[in-house]
Amino acid sequence: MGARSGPCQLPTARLLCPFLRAPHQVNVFRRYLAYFAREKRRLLIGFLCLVPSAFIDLQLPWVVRGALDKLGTEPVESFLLPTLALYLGLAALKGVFRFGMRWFLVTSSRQVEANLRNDLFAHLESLSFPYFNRTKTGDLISRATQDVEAVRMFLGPGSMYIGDALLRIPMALILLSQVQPAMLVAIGISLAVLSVSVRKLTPKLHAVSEAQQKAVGAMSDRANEVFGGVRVVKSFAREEAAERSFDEVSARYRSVSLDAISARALSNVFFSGAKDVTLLILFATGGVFYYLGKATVGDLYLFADYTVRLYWPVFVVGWMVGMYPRARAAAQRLNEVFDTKPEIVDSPRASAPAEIRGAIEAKNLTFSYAPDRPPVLKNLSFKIAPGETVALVGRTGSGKSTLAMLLGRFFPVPPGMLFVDGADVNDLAIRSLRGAIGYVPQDHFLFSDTIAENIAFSENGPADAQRVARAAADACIEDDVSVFPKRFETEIGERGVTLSGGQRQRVSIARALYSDPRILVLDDCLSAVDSSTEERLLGQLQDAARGRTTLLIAHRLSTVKHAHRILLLEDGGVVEEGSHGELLARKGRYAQLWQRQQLEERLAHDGEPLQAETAVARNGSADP
Amino acid sequence: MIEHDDTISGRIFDRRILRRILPFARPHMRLFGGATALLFVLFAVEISIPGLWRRLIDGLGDAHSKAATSGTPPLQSALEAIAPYVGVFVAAVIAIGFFRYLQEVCLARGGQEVIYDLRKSLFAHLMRQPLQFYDRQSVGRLVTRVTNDVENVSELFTSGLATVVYDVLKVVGVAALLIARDWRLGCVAVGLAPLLALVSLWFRRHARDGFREVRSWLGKSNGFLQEAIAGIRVVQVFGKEEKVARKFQGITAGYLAANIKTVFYFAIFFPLVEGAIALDQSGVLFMGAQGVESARLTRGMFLEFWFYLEFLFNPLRELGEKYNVLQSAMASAERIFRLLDEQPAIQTPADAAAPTRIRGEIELRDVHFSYDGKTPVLKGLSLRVAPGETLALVGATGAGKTTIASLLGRFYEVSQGAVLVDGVDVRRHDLKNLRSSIGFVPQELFLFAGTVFENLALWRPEVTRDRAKEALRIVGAAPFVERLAPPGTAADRALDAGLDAPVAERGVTFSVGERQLLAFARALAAEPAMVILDEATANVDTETEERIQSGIRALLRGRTSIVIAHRLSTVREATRIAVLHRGELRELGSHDELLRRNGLYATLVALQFGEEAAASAVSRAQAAARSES
Repeated sequence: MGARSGPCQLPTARLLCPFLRAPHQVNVFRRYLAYFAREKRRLLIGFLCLVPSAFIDLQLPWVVRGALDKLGTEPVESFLLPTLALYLGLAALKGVFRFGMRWFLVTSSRQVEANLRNDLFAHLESLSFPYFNRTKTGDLISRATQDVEAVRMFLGPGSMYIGDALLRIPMALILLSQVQPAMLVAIGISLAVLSVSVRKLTPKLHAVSEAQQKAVGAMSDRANEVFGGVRVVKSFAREEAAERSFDEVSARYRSVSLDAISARALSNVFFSGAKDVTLLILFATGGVFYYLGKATVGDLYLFADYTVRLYWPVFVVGWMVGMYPRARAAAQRLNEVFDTKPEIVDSPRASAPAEIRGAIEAKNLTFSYAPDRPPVLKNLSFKIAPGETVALVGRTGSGKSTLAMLLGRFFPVPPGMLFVDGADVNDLAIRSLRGAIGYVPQDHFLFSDTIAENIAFSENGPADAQRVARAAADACIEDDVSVFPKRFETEIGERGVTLSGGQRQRVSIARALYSDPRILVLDDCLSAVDSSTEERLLGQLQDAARGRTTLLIAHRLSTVKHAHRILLLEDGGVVEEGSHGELLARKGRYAQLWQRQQLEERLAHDGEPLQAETAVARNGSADP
Repeated sequence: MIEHDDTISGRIFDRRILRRILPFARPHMRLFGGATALLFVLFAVEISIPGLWRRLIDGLGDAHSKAATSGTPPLQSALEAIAPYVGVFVAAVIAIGFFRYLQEVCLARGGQEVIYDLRKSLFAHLMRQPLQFYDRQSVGRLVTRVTNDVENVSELFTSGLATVVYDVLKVVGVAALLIARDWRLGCVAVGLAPLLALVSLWFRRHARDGFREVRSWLGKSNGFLQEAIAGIRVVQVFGKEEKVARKFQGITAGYLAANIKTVFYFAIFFPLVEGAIALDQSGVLFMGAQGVESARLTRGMFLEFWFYLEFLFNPLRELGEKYNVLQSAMASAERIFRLLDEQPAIQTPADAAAPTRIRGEIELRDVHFSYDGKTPVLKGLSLRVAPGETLALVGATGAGKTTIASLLGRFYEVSQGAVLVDGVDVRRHDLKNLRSSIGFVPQELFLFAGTVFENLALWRPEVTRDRAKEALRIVGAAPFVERLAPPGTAADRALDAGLDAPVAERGVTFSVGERQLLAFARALAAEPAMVILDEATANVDTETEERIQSGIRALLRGRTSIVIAHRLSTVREATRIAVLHRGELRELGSHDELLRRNGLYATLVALQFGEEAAASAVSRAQAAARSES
């Protein structure tokens, strides 16, 4: 908390201290306050409604007090009907203002929330791949939802309640001091104690709730584990053990909950007890003043009513101050995201060529994902001419996909090592570079949308049906789509049909083809496509290429045998290079891989017995 | 079978459900009874406070005039006069605090006990369900049932039954009291109160619909967020950040609109409630003023009446909110009971063969099987394993090896054909007797927190400590268990002490080889007639490999066993080898016979068991072929 400065010594000032404290702490919220500033018209109207609503609210008991004091001394006819009319009239007026207050203030905070969500999303989208590799999706989601909500609650409705309280409490104090200052002091002290204790208790209550949440989390983790692994549980007759282990977390939850119950019940007693005690103090002091003829029945009523009316504002001040650390933490977490700068941006001398032809060159390309990690690519050099189809093959981890990612500059590329059309990729505008590359990633991620929307993903406006159909035909997905009643308008994903792995891969290929890119990168995207379809698809790609540079990354060698050139990567460097025929003839690594895969494929596809000569061929020269 | 949340009726009081919940509440009746009794006490104390104001106001007026004549100092006489009232007030405040705490704790504690029990029996019930049940249910849904839904049910107790009793007591009691005090005034106060209830219920309906809409938009928004972040690479690869952001903005706009709708209902609800209250108060003020004027009422009585009104207003104001809470608790209870109503589909039949000692003869007779009813996994498989024989199963992934193991333990039912043990269909066996006569050894030993002995015994009463020790010795696990004993233990007691050594969750402290040996000992401890061994594929050093191999030999000796083999040495030692391919039996015979046939098995051996084995297999096969020709 740090050393407290002068004004914070006073009890009321101390309550508000977190808001008044050193400016660098308030800065945490500066970004969000700016969002509220954009809603200033609505906020202004809202606060303009708040003032009269608070004022009228405090007038209502005065009307009743007046009637009570007149009762018995003046004839009813002289005051009753005007009093009633005033009471109802004021109540109605207050209702109108309260509506206005809530409507304008809360809707503006909702608007802020919406803007904040949108901006956060847009910001996230601008961040680079390395950021997403470091950050868990779940974390980002909880920031975008829970933290935004916590900040909104604190600055939105929170400031409404605080504003209301800060207006109403002094107003009430001024009004009551005209009646009986001594009684006012008595209840004032009592309510101040309430506010301070609420502030103290709020973090504790929050801590028990959090402990409870954690215990629930542990319980659902355990249930998840058991239900997810139910096969193991069953085959070992381990049901009882599972029950026991679940019982453990369930019992822990019970005991945490019982603690929370006690804590909550105790503080509830305290909170509502504070009101009762205040009324008691009022009862005693008011009784004395009444006895002495210094207070009327109406005065007693007025004080009792104000005690109840002030209870909530006083409570809220303490509560909000208690909540402050949480809101600040949420704001800080959000700030972290907002303050993260995209790692990959256009360099100042970036050029945007009118057309990219598709020549690719690597010169001693060396790359590692982090300075302390071993390089994934080591002194890799190659040259690809526009229109050439080049295949990259090699084991998992040999650096094929990394190379593909570097081409689109999705990770920071060391300068002077990778060139497109002779220009360092770092000197090309990201938009033109990426726009020229049609990329089919390994994980063939599709959105829960229609097939047409997925294929025409690169289109800003509505999907062009003709181009969708052509891309689908080239990617050999058209026949599959024509089976669906709604054809290209079929929804895929959670709410729609489930596509097979091969179908997803081909939709993903169609998506890359839609924009007719100059460079096409296929990252091992045919693994789930059967061989005959694959053959047809590769043939069509070749026909439709029209001078397109194609980078074909594959695990299955049958995929790459028609490529103009094949680069065999191992440990981040090229170990063999040449056409399929040349490489087979060399009888090196590639030839070995080829034989082994042929063997596997035959077994998997038809389970046909192995011919002895094939088996021998895989050993190179063991011909008897 | 898979229920949808929409089919839940959502009635607020469902007698059927309450009747079923009651047995769970009965053991904790003392808590609930105590909490309810305390509510009556609390009510009696709370309702006495307005009376104190009346007495103070009406009583002190007289006292003041009396004191004025007697000549005592005014402040002293004032304190004397109010002391009794204040004393009662103090007592009341203390009593309220005390009883309220006690009541709240009793009730919440009772609720926690009930949901603890409910959770326990729900979980136990789920554990008894067969695997088919789990194939149909999503894990997430089941987790929600045992966590959130059970939690919701606790609301039936905490904000439910007892609170409803209290609220009804408050409203009816105070209404009766008001009318009894002054029927004219009472009738006006009580007569105008339903207006408040109407406002509250009107709000309830709209608020619930509004919240549903907000939740649904929030779900959409979070779903989109999740998808967009998961697919951020695609978005960036295509440079479509702005397009996707626009879509997100569309969803945010929907979310905002739904929120604003609920803000409207909230904004209008509070003024309406206060308006209804003000109307009621005006009526009371009107009638009360007349009453005071006609001396039917004192001012103290009027004020008492006024304070009573709060007792009437509060429960009515919260009516709508409580209604929603109870409704959702009922819906949760209904979902839970639906799950509890699912009967385990695989059970011991009524006419089961008497549980006798199983010898271990296994026969698969034209077995067909499919997990989902569409994709066949086994297609007319027939196999016999004689008692004491070791059959090795080999084949590529998806050939159906593991399925055979599952069918033997009757974790699934065959769709056609039969699985027989000792010549009797498994469907006619006593299920427990059948499963406990099979020792399953999985690839990965599942250890849980407890001692070594508990992990070996798995609560099987027939597994004594001596048996466990014997099993450890047989499979060769005794030396390392002895090392688990606390230092300084006498050598002859080391194994015994090692049994009591704690096992950390998931057994992280054991090496791969040790885990294998423990798994063998666990299966062996119950002396099963049959063993099903799914060999681990993990690579281990030669020494460990040898220990495992001798462990396997010890485990399988004299038992009917089916081994899903991943090691060449294991297949070699099997009596016979069954080669499966896509749910069919392709080849059957000993290792040498099959190699000589130079078919699927030879290929598999070549692929699975490494270059060296393949080379030798092929050259041997060719040598054999040459000698034949």
